[in-house]
Amino acid sequence: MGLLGGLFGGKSAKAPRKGRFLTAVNTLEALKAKTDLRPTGKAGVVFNPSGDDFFKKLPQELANTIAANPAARGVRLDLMDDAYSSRWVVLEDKDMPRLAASVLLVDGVFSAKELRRHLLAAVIQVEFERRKAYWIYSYKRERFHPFVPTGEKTRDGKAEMRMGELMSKEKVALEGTLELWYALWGIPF
Amino acid sequence: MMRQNSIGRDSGLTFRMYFTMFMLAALFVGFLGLLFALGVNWIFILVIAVLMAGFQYFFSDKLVLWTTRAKVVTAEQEPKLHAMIERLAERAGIPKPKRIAIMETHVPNAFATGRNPKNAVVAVTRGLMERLDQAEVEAVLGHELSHVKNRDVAVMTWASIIVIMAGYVMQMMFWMSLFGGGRDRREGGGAGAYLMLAWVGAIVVYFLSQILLLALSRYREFAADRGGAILTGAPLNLASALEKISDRMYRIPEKDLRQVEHANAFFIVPALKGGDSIVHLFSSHPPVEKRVARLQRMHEEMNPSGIQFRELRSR
Repeated sequence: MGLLGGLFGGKSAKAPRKGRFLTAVNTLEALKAKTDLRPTGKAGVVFNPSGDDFFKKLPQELANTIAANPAARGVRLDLMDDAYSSRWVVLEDKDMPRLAASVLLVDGVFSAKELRRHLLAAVIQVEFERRKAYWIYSYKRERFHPFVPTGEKTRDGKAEMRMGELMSKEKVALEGTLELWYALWGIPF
Repeated sequence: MMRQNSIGRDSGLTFRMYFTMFMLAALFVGFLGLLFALGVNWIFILVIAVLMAGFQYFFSDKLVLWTTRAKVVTAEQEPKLHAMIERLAERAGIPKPKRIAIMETHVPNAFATGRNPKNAVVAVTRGLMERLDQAEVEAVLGHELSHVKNRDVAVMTWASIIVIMAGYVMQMMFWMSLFGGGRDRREGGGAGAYLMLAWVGAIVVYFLSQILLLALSRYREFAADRGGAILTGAPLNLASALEKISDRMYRIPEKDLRQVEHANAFFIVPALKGGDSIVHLFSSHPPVEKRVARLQRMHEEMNPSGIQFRELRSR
């Protein structure tokens, strides 16, 4: 178990999920050298809040957790609401392993309170063919899919299929059902 | 056993339909087998078989609407679609289909069902109307109305009833040889083996007949392409519609993940590996490239001078 695995109390049943996420981030680093795809150092987690006390205390809880973990310390953290009454944790750090660690920490904070069902997706911002694009990780499906928005509610399906091909070649856990490549319009980063 | 004819390949839709069909057929054969095993008179079983087949035949349209979650729309709700279908039906010389339905999915597709032209249902997806242009939608509707005109649903339903009956008779024969002819052969010891043989035989017959059925279905698709192209007089419109429908890119939704989750409609389908190849093996549709090539040939035959006629009226 590596450093990141140790952060989450070592619940072995959940190891493959985290493994998938880290593999994806490592892949992104590796692709930087040989393709037109590179990480930008921004990521986010989108979730559906409820009236639970947990969500009121969440900003503080997240800040404390990140500050307390050497693997994620120093990551810039923001919380914001969107037009879908969902909430975003936006994370920023040029160091990709640190960014990935902080995304997993957010996941861990929810898991610790058994509120993981509120998590919708983790999003990694990338630059693909010199355009802003995203890798969306669905918590329900535990799979990634590409997203290349071109306008307010338009996306470039062809570019997404190209990026999807790169992802699957590199063994990223790609969502194979194109019908489930749902959009996230107006990602706040 | 219930049949429909959709214009393109849609793995989700196809899977749902075949799954329903398979379950119905399995239920049907299983139930009859159970009756026989219980020692019920075989004439009585035959009557039940015919009744069950009849039920599926007469309610196939409702079953298809139910499995595809297509909603029937009135002329007030979808005037353009209704007008287009009415015009084409008139040109094809068939009554306007009784029900016109829409499936709320972004994946472009269409299908026709119903045991005869009078009881036909033509359904299109929202994606078909949004992502194809008017001429292409018309071409697709022409294809579907050709299915209606050719009575393909009835042909395919009867063909599958015959297939299932054949499978059943075969099963029955093995059971008979097991119980009736048992005395002349070995005592008891071979019973298990005969039973196995009966099952294997029934499975083989069922499998082979399914493959034949699919071949028949593919042939009906070519026929409907041809009929539809004649109906609109523009084979190339159908060709470009087919290309769009088969384009995997059009499967990517415009829906937002948050909306889907809020609506609680995020249905979790198991991410089957190689699910695509199953659909290919048991494909009821010929490959799109083959269909497009035929339509292009038709276009050349219809327009030796190279001029494309907008409409070719049959009367």
